[in-house]
Amino acid sequence: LEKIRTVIVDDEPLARQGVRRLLEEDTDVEVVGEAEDGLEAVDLLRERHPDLVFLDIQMPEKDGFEVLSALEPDALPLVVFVTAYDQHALHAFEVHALDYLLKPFDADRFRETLGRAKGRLQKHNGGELTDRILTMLGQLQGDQGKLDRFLIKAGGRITFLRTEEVEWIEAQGDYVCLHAGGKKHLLREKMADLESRLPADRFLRIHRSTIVNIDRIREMQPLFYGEYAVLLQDGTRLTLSRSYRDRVFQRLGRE
Amino acid sequence: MALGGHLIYRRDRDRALVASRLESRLAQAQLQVLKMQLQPHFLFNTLNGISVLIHEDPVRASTTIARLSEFLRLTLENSGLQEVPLRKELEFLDRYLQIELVRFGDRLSVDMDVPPELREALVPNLILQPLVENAIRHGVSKRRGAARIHIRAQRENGRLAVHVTDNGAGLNGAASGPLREGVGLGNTRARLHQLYGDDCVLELQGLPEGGVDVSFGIPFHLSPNGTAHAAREIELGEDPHRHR
Repeated sequence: LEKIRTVIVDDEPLARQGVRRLLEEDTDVEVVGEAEDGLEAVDLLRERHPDLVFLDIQMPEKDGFEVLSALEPDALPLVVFVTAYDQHALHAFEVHALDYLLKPFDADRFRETLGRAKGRLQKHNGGELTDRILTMLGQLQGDQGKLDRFLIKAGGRITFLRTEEVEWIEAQGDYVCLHAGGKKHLLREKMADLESRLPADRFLRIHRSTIVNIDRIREMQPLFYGEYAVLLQDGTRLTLSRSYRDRVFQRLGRE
Repeated sequence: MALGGHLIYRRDRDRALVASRLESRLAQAQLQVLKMQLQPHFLFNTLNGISVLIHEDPVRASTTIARLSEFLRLTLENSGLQEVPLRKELEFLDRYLQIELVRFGDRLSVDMDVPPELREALVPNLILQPLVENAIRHGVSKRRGAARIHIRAQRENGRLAVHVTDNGAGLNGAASGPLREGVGLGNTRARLHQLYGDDCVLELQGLPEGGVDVSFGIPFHLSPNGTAHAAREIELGEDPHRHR
């Protein structure tokens, strides 16, 4: 059986030691690394891709929440926050933390958390099932031809986002950022691949780095040099570049 | 005679007013320390450290519990005196530092440079620990790697100067020179002024090599029975001159 690969992040050495001691009681768990500040944590989590992380919130350089938001969605392990502050609890669950340990905690409370993590990981067969579900869903979408929903993987959860809820899409390096209802979701995708998989009657490529949902466009205003400002219903201002102008007008049925 | 009586009455009243302002500043300083002690970041992380030590190093666990209790007790039992010998302030500080050293281990080191002959000098009660706490907060909690805190006292031209230096990032990496001060320092400054009038300084300096130096300077003066105290050694678990 595969061990649960676990990382401990805390700026206090004793606190890390405490978590490690409790983890070492459990033969299903392997501690694959420790970090003592936020920057180190981001590097470590990217490099080791653990299944589970025990994450302090208040730390130098980057706090626990900043660590998570710095990580690519694919690199997110199951998260257990370990902190002295209970006012962080609500926020912790907003970012889909598995659990929340208040310092100091006892061994029973810790084992309960670890049990919960195991349950989650076993159910998903160490995350492989998650990937299989993603692949299967991807194939289903492939069969139907076009993408009708995005699967967003974050904090050990998968959320569904219907394509029509996406207002516009922005290229960001190897990722695309989906803008939907005031939130941003990062996906590891190439713009060209995404463009070809999105329903053509609903989405328009208007720029090398922009795809927009046609239903969300409120107005287009001519700018200089053949470019257009594309205004969305929520006030977002995008640019239609010259190289995409003709295709866009063709699609919109205008000369 | 009647006029003289009136003047005496006014002088007494002014004196009473000054005394009550001083009392309220001291109470604020005490409250500031208590608030810090009850902050979740300090209290619960310390308790968490102790709960780990119970398994790893029971002797050190009980020592830390003793230090934490003394730290709390010394604050609660505060004498209400406006001024205490520097020695007393260092004893109080030592309780606090021993706790922080347990929490941060290798990430924190503290140097103390206080000549024995300055230990009986009177300083404002509860002035030192908040300055050091501030240095630790900026030097350790916001910065990666090891933090060094340096505490030193010196006597020059009839004045006592106490410096607390950290090697943190300074204030938002601002250039060296005077820095803006927070609320805690504001109270410290007001207390110094009420105790010593214009005969005091409180300075916050960004250092060219990074980090911040906070210092206060007051007239050097001893408690009336200072010399008697000076002969007695400070009763501390460890050598107070050098931590770690």
